[in-house]
Amino acid sequence: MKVRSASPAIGGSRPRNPVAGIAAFALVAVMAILVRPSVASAAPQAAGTDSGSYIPRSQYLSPVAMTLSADGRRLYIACEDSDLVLAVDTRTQKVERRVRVGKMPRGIALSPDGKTLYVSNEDSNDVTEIDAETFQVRRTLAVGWGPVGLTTDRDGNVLYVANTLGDDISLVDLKSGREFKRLEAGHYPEYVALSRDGSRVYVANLLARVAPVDRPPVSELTVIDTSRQIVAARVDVPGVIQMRHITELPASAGGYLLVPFMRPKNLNPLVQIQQGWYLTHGLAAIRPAAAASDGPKNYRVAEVLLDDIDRYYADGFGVAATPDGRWALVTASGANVVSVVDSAKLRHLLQNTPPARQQELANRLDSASHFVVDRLLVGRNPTDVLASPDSRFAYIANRMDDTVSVVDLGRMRIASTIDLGGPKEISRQRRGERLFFNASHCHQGQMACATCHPHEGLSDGLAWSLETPQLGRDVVENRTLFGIDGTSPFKWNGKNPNLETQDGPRTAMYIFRSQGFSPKQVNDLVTYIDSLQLPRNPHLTSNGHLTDAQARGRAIFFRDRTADGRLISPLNRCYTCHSPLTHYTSRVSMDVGTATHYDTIHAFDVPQLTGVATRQPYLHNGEALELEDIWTMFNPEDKHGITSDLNKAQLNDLIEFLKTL
Amino acid sequence: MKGRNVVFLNIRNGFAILIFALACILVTSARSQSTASTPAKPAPTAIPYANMPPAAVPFGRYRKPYQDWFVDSSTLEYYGAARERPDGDLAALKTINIGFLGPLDANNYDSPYGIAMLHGSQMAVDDANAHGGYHGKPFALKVHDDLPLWGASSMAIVNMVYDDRDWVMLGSVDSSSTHIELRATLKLELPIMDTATNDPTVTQTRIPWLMHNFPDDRQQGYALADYIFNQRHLKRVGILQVNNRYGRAGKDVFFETARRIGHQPLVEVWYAPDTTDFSAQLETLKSSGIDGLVIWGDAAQAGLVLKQMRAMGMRQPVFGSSRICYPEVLKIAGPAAEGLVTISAIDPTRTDPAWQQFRQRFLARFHTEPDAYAAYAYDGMNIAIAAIKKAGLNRGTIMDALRQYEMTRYTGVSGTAFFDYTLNNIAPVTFAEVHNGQFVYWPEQRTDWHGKPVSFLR
Amino acid sequence: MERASAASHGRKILWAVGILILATGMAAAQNPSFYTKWTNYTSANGFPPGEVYCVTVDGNRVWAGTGHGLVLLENGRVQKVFTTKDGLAGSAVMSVAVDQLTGDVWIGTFGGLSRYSGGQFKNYTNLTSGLANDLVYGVAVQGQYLWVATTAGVNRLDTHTGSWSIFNESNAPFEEPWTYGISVGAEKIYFAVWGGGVLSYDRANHYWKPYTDPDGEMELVLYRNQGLIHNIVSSVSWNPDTKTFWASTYFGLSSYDGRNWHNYLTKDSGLPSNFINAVKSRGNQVWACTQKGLSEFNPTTNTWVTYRPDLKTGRGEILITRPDGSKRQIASSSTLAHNYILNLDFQGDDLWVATANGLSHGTRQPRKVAAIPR
Repeated sequence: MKVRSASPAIGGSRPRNPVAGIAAFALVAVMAILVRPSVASAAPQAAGTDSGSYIPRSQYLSPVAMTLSADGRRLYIACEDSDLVLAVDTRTQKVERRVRVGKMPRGIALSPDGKTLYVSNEDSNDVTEIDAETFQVRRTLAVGWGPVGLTTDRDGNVLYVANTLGDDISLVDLKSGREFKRLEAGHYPEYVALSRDGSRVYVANLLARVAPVDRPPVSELTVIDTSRQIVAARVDVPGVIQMRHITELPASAGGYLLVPFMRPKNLNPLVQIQQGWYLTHGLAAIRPAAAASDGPKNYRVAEVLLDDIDRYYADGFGVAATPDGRWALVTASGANVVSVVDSAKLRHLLQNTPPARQQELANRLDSASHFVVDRLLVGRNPTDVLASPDSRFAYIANRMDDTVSVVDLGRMRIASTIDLGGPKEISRQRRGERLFFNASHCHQGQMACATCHPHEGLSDGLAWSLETPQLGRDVVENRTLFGIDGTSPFKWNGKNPNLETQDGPRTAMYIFRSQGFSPKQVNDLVTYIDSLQLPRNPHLTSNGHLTDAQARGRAIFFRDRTADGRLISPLNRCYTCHSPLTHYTSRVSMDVGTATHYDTIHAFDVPQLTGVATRQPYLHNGEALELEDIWTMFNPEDKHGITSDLNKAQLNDLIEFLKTL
Repeated sequence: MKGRNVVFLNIRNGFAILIFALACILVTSARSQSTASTPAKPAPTAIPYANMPPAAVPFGRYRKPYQDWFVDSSTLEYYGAARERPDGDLAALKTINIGFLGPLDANNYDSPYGIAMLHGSQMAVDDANAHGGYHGKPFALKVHDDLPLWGASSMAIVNMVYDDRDWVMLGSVDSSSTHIELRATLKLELPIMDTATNDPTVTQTRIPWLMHNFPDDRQQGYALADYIFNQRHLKRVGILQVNNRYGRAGKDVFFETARRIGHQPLVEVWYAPDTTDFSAQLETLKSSGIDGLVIWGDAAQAGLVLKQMRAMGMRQPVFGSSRICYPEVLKIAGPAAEGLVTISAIDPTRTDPAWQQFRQRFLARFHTEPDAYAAYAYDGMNIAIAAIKKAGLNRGTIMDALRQYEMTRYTGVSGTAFFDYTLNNIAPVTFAEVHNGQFVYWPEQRTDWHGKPVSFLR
Repeated sequence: MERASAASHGRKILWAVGILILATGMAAAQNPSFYTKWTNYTSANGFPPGEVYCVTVDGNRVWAGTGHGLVLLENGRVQKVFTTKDGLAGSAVMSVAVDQLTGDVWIGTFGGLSRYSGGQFKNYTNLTSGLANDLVYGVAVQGQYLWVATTAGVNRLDTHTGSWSIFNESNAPFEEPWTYGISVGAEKIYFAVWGGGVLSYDRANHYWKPYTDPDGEMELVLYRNQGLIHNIVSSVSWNPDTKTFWASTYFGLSSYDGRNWHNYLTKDSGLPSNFINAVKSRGNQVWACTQKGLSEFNPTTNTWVTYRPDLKTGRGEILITRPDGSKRQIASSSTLAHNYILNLDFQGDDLWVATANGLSHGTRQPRKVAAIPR
């Protein structure tokens, strides 16, 4: 499949060799970069010049979510880094209006009458309601933790908001502005979509259900029946994670829901990445049940890959069906590409694949040739995509370029690129961020840093076989990148003293199977990773005081005597290894009795506890699915702190405290 | 109903002893023909609940209660559907499973009792299998450790019903675990034979699925209170209790009984289960001017208490609960144990062949003397096995078979038990006194029995 | 077509009026309406065998907890029997609560707590969550909180934050931690504590209040209406209409209206057995699930009506105890699946009853029934 470049008018976007680069894949703690100055980045060249000077992240726009007025005249764009919402006139392609909202706006929705915009602010746990015409902020609606995706119902009475950190969905009564109901989603719900008939709200969960790490992941599409406002179905989407945006093909095009995903082979040794087919990227094509009240068994889930045999389109993000149902556009945010799916061909493939072979589709790298008709190179890190009401144009938000690509669907080419007005100078941190999202550095473009650290630094919650080529040996749980500055060394074996060496030449050789980055790129990337901060901890009360249970838990964490008064060895006190002075890690390796016979080492790097509540599963191999498991199942000899003298209420208190860190 | 009321009126009128003795004689004569392991019909008479001393009857001096429980055959009435369930398919079973729940882990404070209980149970099961098992199929013990950590043992009875498919279970020592089983079995309907808990409340629930043969704290408390206050004529007693459920429950019964009979203990002091230095507790007791000390705890700590109190010059007589009556107290206290009087759950010096044979076989097999926990478990398991043999593979009819022990005696290796309407053993307990470095045993003789032979329930 | 339909409609009205007049005329000769039509779901017609521990009505759905899983009935038909193979936490299902806001179904089992939502189970156990114990007897929803009665105390899960609280003898006035049932009132939540009486939790002020047997003795009741009749409480039911809570014990029935206690035993009322597994009250109805039948008590008229199969013959009987203590027994052509009653719930005026041998659906029907000669 040939990749078409952007129009010459915006120039400079064609990669010199999209396969030649290397991605740095960091599972254990981070990304770092190998020094190979002779190899240039395959990323598109954006408008603007590189700069070593300090430019605050908030200066950049980072468009991440869009919505379009019913007449297609106005494009509304939420820009996550600048906390701005922009209105762009699609004819003049100029920014007409801008308004400041809460922190980290990541989702945007328009009321059915087109008069009101709702913007979710992930870091402020609220939604800003904006007059779509005047761009005046009307009110702020409190919702759950880490709101991202949102939609109103068909009548515009109820707003559905996916709360990523809360694993739930807030339902807000738009008359009163009050949240009246919260429904549990799957794990890390990110984007939502209202069904075409308005009977359902679909919620895509970014992470797989928390489950034993030695099994393939299962993700959930949560379906809300809008008439009863309850979860009607939790649809299993097996073998995949990172489901993002959702689009529904019109009934005439089969009525499938299309949801981009990543399909990992994480339990195979990572060295196999050089054989390809290790991390694949595709679309879930889900045939919804006939009635909104139907359960999950009435949904038919098929999976197809968008990758080609020797070229991968990493990190599917946005997806949009044209209103005429002819095309579905899928952004590969790590490949700077939009794949154009011919929905009739996709439907043909799905309908003509016998049920027995449906599962095969999810693993076939030759499927895309049946239904992907074009690949369009767009700007850096394309996220959201929208189709115009007349099905003639598509708009793609290029997060790392602060631009929007306009696709002429008739000619199937980039018609123009709208500059949203971000800084032209590119800071070191921004350069690092661009590298973080870019998969072109990896063998066949299978992954970017962001592939395994989605949502800008999360752990993907999977265990990976990183270093030992034997199947099943030394499987280790992924770790977060949030707030890791000052927590060195890195990796579960604690071998890498800093981020720069974390993924040095050996790692590039044995894991990434490609070339490394230049020293400058290493510095850029480290600067970016060091800048990743933990979100405000929602388990802490607004005044920062601990609740009674949290305070009791704190006393247990810092205790030096057992319940019956015996002195606890300093080496077996919580705070010794998880020192509060350094992010609750003493930055050494300890044997806490958690090694199994599949491990070649027994002592593991003490993980920092900051943000621990959001880092399921736990322990080096991810065996402990919940915090409780660490002590109820995996501490039989009291080597991981003395806990056998605690009663259940005390253990609960300890966990309540840990969740505040 | 009317007749029973008359009995109580008479008690309050001072004729209680006479009626009671008559009742006892009736029971005795009715049961004298029964063989060691076969229950006979319930006696159509009333015995004061739990063999309670008249003076210790709650509110007994003030008012006749509106309602008395546990004093007639409706106590454990059962109108459920367990008997209607299909019987087990003998042909399809390889073994006839019996559940066991007891503290076995060496780190468990109660494990010595649990291990003895397991050994006693195993002997009974092996004996039954040596006699052909159940229609040729062997009985098999499905053992579950009673682990307190994270509520682990709560699920034992569920596993016994759903996984092990037991017909009856035996256990446990810990009264909390036993209560949890009891609550669960009301729903799951698995007969429980408890041979080890001291908690008198396990037989106060009207749940027909539990039978209990170990002398509980009520029996021990009544006996000790009568002995201390009515026979030794002490007046200012102090209590030292281990701070766990065993200590608290036992202390409560003794304290209440003492209070009701007019000798409220002067002081109560507790100690942690692993205490070795009792000086603080003993100082408190010493300064209180007590004339006797009751310890509700275990043998090792009692030994230390005796040693340390005598060293402090405290010469008061010391009395203890049944868990103190172990050689360990003699070993640790040495001469300081002299004069110690405890309840003993059994009289190991009995010479009857059943006990002596059991003792020798136990010693030969486990290389240790059987204690009360082993003896009651052996008897309890024999009762359970007999019930299965009699009733067949139906948990409802097995429960019926156990309930037939109401108001009857059972003579086993632990002695002769008498089961009341709650299926609790209320036979008189045994006393032990340390004399010349050894325990000397004698049967309980309560003053409210007015010197009558105490074998009335034996 | 329309005309024909209108005519048929008219005839129906005429019939209805006629029946009404006839019924009014006969009313004096008839008994008050009794539950005389019982439909039973037992192993004989494909229902899981054995005990039905609990029943919860959710609109036209009925959830029944059995010893072999959770049964879902819709419009009177068994739709599905969920077992551990489907993901249920335990085989023995003790309680079911439906969150009317979210539609989620919470299930208390001997094996942990399950949430059924969107066609999938999610389980919470003692080892893998803050659940106090895996023997779960009761569940109840209060807004965003889920209350769980376990054998090791009361749990509260904040479904928004995921925080678990445990209430037991260490932080609340529990005499014993073994908790059986929960009843959510507008101001207070009531807990049946086995061995510990009734506990109430004030929702606004967050304090606990115990109601225990004032004589403190397991073996007796000192005065008839002294207070809670016994500490072994098997269930509690708050009646918002009469502002009274009712507590069932294995030693009789108690009620407390905030001022006075009223206790009921077989010897002083129409209660068929003192061994009561559950009680439920609404309006003027108090339903006691005893081991000798299902009793309806009307505190206003002081009348008791007990439904059961005769304990010996199994034939349907309705026992009426009047305020003067006089009793009447009448035959019923259909009756409950078993006399040992564990639980019930209301579906409008209909009853769904959990018995030791199946689930029963009772419909109140005014009909003439013959007195059984005594």
